[in-house]
Amino acid sequence: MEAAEVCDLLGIEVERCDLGKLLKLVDYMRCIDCETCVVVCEFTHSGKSYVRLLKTRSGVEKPFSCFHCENAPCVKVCKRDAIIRKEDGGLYIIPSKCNKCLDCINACPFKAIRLRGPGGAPGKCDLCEKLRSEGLEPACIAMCPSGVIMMSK
Amino acid sequence: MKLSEPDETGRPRPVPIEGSEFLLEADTVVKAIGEIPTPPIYSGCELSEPSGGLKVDQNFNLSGNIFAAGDVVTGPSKIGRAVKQGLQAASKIDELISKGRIGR
Repeated sequence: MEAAEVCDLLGIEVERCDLGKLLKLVDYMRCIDCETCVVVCEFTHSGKSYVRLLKTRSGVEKPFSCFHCENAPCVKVCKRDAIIRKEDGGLYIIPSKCNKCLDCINACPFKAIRLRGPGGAPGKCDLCEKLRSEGLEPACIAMCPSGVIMMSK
Repeated sequence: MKLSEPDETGRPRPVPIEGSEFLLEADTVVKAIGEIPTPPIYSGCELSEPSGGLKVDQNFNLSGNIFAAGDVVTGPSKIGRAVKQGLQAASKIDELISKGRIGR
């Protein structure tokens, strides 16, 4: 999905959106609550799913994972600058810089960071860095039967 | 639709009732048609559970080189759970093909 299309969907003016930056979004109105994203994430991240089902106010469970926020609370709260934005626009936790204080886990409003990720540091959605390096899409985007998880290039 | 009189083979055919169809506007259509597993083996044999699903071991192996996963094993469920079993079964099949056996 092109950034312009994402902006259109979100109702943001393209000029105000930083084109080229990575943007991940889920169309919750069309999500059918099937858990496919959760299980494919678990499969591609050696048994740990970074997509979490949260119960919404209407009682249905919807998948939440790291949205790679522009103004990310986890980045602000990290004292070691261990959460960095790489060139592709995504936020990544650098395990070697992390002192495992777990402040980021508490800071994330979407509960998207979980304990014991790679290297013992907290782990979160890495947008399937390994799959993308092989020219593939992130697993949840490729497998979603409704096609509601989208990412700008 | 209604059923017609049985034809020469004894099978009644569905025939449309004139003027009974109508259009309904919808944003999304969710098909919930109560699917049940219809494994290609007769029920009551030793490969199927009393519930109608197939009896597989922890490696999703049914018998010999036949694997089964998803709704045909568990019965109707969420897509994700079937996808999970499909992925796990695929990795077991990969193991069988590449190493010649499953497990150690």
